[in-house]
Amino acid sequence: MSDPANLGIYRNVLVLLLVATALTVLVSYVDFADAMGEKGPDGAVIERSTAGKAVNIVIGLIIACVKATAVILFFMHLKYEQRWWAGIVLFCLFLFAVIVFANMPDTGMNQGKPLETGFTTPAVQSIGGGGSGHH
Amino acid sequence: MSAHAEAHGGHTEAFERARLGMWLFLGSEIMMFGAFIGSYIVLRMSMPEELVAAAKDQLSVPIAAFNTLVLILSSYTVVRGVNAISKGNKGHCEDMLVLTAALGSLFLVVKGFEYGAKFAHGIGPATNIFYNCYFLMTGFHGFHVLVGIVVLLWLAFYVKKFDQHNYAKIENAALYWHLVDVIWIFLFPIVYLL
Repeated sequence: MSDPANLGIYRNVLVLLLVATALTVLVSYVDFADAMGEKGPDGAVIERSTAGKAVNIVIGLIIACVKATAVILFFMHLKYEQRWWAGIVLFCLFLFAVIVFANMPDTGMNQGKPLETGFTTPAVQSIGGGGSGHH
Repeated sequence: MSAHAEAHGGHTEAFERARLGMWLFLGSEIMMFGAFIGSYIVLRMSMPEELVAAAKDQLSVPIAAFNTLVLILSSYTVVRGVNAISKGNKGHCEDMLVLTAALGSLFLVVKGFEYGAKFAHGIGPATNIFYNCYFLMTGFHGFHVLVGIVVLLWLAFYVKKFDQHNYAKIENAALYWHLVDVIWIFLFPIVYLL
């Protein structure tokens, strides 16, 4: 028996993962919601852009998907297995999408208003009022 | 027969069945974390922005990024271990498995400090819906890392029992470890960054 891939491939995947992680962190510091938001005459942001927020999320998730695909195909050798095995992963991802989208109407019916569970609201005050930046 | 199986010549069927069984198990793992992450996405869309912003202020991106690098490196070392045993190099395989377990332990220690800091500030799973999701997802992930460490050390201890014709257990442990890495690849941006 032998490993279907080789050390050169593994090294390339490692470099890709490290670069992609750095990119993810860098992009997260660019706040597209502010950059694309409505600005007043003094340049201050009046309203943060929802589309800009989506840009941050989409970029972050695309990079994560590229990283995960590289790990699955090369480190996990799925590229070298029978092709239908990929169906196991894809079917699980399909069911995952069903979970998310089946629950979307619940969020949609909330019309963008915060959840009012009693569980959430007091905590906003206790944490939000405590300042920031302590880890 | 797959390219993987062909490369192995004989001894292939049992090895292939073992890997297939592992992939099916990993499918169930994807579903479990998929349920957590799916719930988080749906709940997150309803969370007040100030709650998320306040929670994000309490999370350390540099520490989580460091942990991401640790897990990525550990994925590389475990695949080097599989490569070594596939060539009959037990010594190198053992080194790589132990190194992977050490990196996994480092991940857990860092995570432990992160949890400790949260608890010290009075933040726990019941603090709010964001932290409920945070502790559920990272807690289950951390538990998976712990199981992986135990399995890797067990395999490293018994590495003499394996050779280039018989290493399905090591390959399967590596598959599990990579999945733990893949899950973190998604948890890092969705919990800490976005």
